[in-house]
Amino acid sequence: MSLKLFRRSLWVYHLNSGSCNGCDIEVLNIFTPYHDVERLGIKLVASPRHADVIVFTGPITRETLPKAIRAFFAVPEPKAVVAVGSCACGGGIWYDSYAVIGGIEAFYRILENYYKIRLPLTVYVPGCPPKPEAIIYGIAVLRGVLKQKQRKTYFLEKEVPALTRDFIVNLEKYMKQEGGINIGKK
Amino acid sequence: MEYIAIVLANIVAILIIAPIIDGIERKIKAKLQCRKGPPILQTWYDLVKLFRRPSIVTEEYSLAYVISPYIIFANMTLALALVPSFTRISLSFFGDIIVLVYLIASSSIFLAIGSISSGNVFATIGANREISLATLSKLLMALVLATFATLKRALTLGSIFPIIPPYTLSAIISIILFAIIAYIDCYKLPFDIPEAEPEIIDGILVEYSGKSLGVLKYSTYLKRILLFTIIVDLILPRNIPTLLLPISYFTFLLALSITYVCVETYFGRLRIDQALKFMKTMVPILLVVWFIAYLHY
Repeated sequence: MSLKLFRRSLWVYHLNSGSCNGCDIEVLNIFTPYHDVERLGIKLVASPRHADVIVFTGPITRETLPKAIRAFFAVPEPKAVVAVGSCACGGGIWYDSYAVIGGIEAFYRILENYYKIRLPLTVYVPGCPPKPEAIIYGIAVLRGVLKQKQRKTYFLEKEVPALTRDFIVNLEKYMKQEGGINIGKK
Repeated sequence: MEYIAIVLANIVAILIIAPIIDGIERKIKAKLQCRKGPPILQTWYDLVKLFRRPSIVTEEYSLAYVISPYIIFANMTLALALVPSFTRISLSFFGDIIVLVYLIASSSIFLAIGSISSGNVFATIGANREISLATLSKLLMALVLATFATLKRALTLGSIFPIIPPYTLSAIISIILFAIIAYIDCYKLPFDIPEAEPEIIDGILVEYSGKSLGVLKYSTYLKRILLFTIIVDLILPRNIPTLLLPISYFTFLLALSITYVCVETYFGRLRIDQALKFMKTMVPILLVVWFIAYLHY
């Protein structure tokens, strides 16, 4: 699924919902002369009313949640969302912090439960921070120019060892040998 | 009947080329900043996209907020019908020079009224700046056009253009001053104070979206073309054959827009008081030029 309306022109509203500014720098990076996304018809706008796409950076904190909801509803339909960075995609290292609602999924859960809306097309650009090239790739996926790169993969540990006293002592010994803590202490 | 058809064809041609001229300007600006730049039709793509999107209205809006973009667009189209562009034929009647000043001034006023009615704080700041700039810039515009009228002793635009063949001092100075005033009125970079993008998030345009935003942007491009057209008409000689006229008009238009965009690239934004001070210094100069024009020098 992609939006044909934005094939030639796409105006981006950058919404910082509690980011560490790493992703913000990378988002601004794609507008520099080196990457120059204006040649692809992408423009950074200052007001959500002018925008077609919201670029979320950072996890959604409790403080920014009402403001993020207002900005979300200020964008006219049809709209799309690009979640840039690990924090926006799934909460990142703050996924269980008391001050943070979570990533874009948690935000959507709130929107679905309390506002009963159809969720917009969403593109995830993970990374901490993602490269500017990755952000441009994500926007190309949104426009339907390029294919999605990610496949569904998951990793499971077969046997989880019991956390006994012997196991911990052995683990410490192993780490001392391998980690080089005792080097020069002979 | 033929007369009206020619005027309408003129307006349609300008409606088509106005975003293309803006696209060329964007391309040149990009080249000057060592970028590749968008395609020349990019402004058209943006406008088409905006026209296909719905406009959201604010919670506390009034009628002026909804209809003012369309009034501004109508004003600009009517003003374009008054000035001769691709042909020498235009809607001309006694006193159309005064109507032109009123149309340009009322578009600024409607822009300010519309953005105040949206109820947004940033829009109010933008409207405030727009009004304080417009009061001075429209005064300057009226003074320059009065100088032209005095030089030719006429009140119809058809008999005023072109101004240059008698190479008088006041004619040359007033053309240069008009070029500066047109630059101020175009919302080009040192003077784009009402819609300062990073500073007051697009100011007057902040609450407009979709179709109404598209119409407002379109009328800004039309305003630029209107002011360029007046400058071209001031200097384009009268003895050019009718078949060559559209080509020469378009080349002059392109040359003007390229000059303006090259100037624009090398400037930052002025503060509102600096811009007002700059325009205040122009008022006495214009009054002196007007007096010289009255004396036929």
